[in-house]
Amino acid sequence: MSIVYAILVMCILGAVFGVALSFADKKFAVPVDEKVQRIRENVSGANCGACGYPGCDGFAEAVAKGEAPVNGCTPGGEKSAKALAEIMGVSVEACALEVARVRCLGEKGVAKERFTYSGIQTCRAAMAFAGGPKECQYACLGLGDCERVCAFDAIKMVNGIAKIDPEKCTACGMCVKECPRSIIALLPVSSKVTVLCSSLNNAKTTKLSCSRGCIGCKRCEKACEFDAIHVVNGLAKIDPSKCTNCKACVEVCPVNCIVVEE
Amino acid sequence: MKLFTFRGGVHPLKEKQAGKTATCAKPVREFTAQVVYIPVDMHIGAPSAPCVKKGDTVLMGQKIADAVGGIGIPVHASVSGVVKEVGTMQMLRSMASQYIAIENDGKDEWTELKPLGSVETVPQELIVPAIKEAGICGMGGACFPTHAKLNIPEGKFIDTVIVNGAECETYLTADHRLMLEEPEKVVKGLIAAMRAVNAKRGVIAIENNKLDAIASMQKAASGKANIEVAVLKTKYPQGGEKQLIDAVLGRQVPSGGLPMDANAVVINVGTSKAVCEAIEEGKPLISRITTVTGAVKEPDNLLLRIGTPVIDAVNACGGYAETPGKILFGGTMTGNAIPSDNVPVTKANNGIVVLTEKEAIIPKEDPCIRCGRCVDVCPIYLKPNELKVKLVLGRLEEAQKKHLEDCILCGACSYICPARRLLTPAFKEGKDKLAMMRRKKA
Repeated sequence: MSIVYAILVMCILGAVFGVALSFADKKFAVPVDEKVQRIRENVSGANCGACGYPGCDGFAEAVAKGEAPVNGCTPGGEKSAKALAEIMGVSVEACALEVARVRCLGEKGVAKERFTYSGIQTCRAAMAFAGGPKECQYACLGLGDCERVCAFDAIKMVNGIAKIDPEKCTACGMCVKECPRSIIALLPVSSKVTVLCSSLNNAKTTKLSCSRGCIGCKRCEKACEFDAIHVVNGLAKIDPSKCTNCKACVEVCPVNCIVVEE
Repeated sequence: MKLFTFRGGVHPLKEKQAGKTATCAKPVREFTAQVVYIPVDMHIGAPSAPCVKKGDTVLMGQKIADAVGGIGIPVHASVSGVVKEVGTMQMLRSMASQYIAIENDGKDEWTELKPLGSVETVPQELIVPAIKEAGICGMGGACFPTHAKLNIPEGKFIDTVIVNGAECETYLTADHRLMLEEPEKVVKGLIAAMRAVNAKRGVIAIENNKLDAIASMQKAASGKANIEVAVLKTKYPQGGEKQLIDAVLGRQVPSGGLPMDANAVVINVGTSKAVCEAIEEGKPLISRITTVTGAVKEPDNLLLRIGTPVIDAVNACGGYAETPGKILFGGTMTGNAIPSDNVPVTKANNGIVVLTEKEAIIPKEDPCIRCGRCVDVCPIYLKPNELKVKLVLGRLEEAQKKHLEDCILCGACSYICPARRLLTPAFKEGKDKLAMMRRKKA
C-alpha cells in the first residue's frame, strides 16, 4: 500500500513544479533576438576566431547589430555569406573562394640545414635562434605553429614542411597570421598554378640553400603568353586574374618551384 | 667576514667547482687572428653604420662604423690592415648581421690616440662622451651600451656604483684572471664611473670562490676613499644585476624598473677596465679576455681581438678534443649556442664553451610533478611552474600579469627541475612574443 502513497506524492510534486516552471518560463523569459539565432545557425560553427570576434556567438551578435560584415565568416564561405545577407536584407558581392597555400617546398633533403635545432619545438622559438636551422631564411621551419592554430585539422607536417589539405581548408586565415615567416598566403581556388617559393634571396644564395628555390631566371615570364607571371625582387609571382592555368611556365621552370594543384 | 647574498639560486656543477678549475690558474695569453670579422650590431640598439669600404686601409682603433640612434655606439678596427669585405652573415640574431672583415697585416699600428689624463682629474663632463666614443658596452654578456647606463636622467640619483666581479657563470674565468692581472685598471674604471654619475660609494663585488682575486682587488683598492670590496656567497645567479644590488645593498629593483631606480649602477669588471683604458690611454674597446674551455685540448684564457672567428680561437687552444656537439657563447647557464664555428667573438663574449655530443643532448621533457623546486630557486620570486603552464596553453596575457617580463632568463629553474621541463626557453619565447606585441602596438 505504501508504494501507492509514494507514487502519488511524487506525481503531485511533479505537477506542482511543472506549473511553477512553466509560469517562470513565461514570466522571466529573456528576449532572444530571433535574427541572432538564425545568423548563428548559418555560420560555420567552428569557433575558429578568424572573424576577429569571440567565437561564432560573438560574430552572430555583431552581424545582427550591423557591426560585422555579412561575409565575415570565411570558413562558412559563399553559402554563409548569402544566407546572412538574406537575413540582414543586404546585398553581398560574390566573394572569391580562397585556399591557404604554403609557399615553400623545402622538405628534408631539398632545403639545406645549417645545424640541428634541439630547443623548444615551435617555429617562433627556432627562428629566434640564429634565424632558424634552415639555410634559407624564407623556408618553412616545419615545427607546426600553423598546425596548432588550425581549427579544421587541415594542416599536417610532412617531411619537415607544412602541407595544407585544400579539401579541409576554409581559408579562415589563422595560419597566415601565425606563421612567423609569413610564407602562408590565401590564394584563389581557381588559380591552380602557383609559385611555391618565398625566397627573396639572390640566385646564388637561393641555389646554395635549396634545390627547389626560385632563382628568378625569368624563363616562366618569357614562356607565359598571357602576361600573368612576373619576376619581382628575384621571385616569380603569378597574377591570378590573368592566369589561365595553361601550365606553360610549369614546363620551363628549371627548379620545379611552380606547382600545379590538383 | 660577512657574506652577501640573495634569496633563491642554485649551485651548478658544484663538485667540479663549476668547471672553472681547468682555466682559473692560466694567465691570459694574447692571440691575434689572420682575418677578423667585426659585426656592427654587437650592442643593444640600432646597428652601427659602416663608414669604410672594401680595399680601405685601416689602423688599429680606427672607427669603422658610426653610431646610429640615441644609445648606439661606434665600432673600431681591432687590427691594422686592409678591409677585405663588408658583408652579411647569419650570427646569433634572427636576422643576418652585417660585418666588416679586415685582413690583418700583423703590424698592429695604432691610430692616433687622444688620452684624457688621469681618471681622478679628467673633467667630469668628458667621461661619458669618451666612453661612447670608445664603443664600450657591457662586457658581462648583455652588451648594453655603457654610456647610456651612466647617463642618469633628471630626477634620479645614484649613490653606489657596483663593479661586478661575481662571475657566477659556470666554466668562465675571464673576469677572475682580469682581476688578478690588472686590478689597478678595474679600480680606475670604477673611479671614472663613480665620478660620471656623482656616486659617493664604489663596491667591487666578488664571489668567495675567488679568494686570490679578492686579495688582489683589496690591495688595489686600499687607500682609495669610498671604495670597498664586498665578498659574496658563491651561488648562481649572484652576478645578475638585480641579485647583486639585492645582495650588496639590500635593495630591490622594482618590477619593470632599472638598477637606477634602486639608486645603483652595476658594471662588469671588463667594462670597468675598458673605461679606464678609454680615458687614460684613449684606446677604444678592441679586444677582450675570453675563456676558451670545455672539449678543447688546452683550455685557456685568451686576449682576443673583437671579430676573431671562434674556430681560430679554438685552434689557438689546440683544437677540439672531440667532435663538438654544441658551442656556447658564455657559460652553460645563460650561454647561447652558436650556429657554426665561423661566428666571430663579440664585445660581450666572455667565454667559448665547447660541449661534447653527449653533453649537448637535451633530455626528454617530462610532465611537471609539482615539487615546487623552481619556485624555491627563482631569484626574482616568480612561479616558473605556473608560467610554463600558461605559456603552453598560449595564455600570454595571463603570463604577463604573473610578471613574465621580469624573468631574467637565468636558467636556475630549468637547471633544478627534476622533470627536465624546458622552462627558461619557454619564458624566452614568451618574452619575445610580448616584446613583438608591444612593438606592433607602438
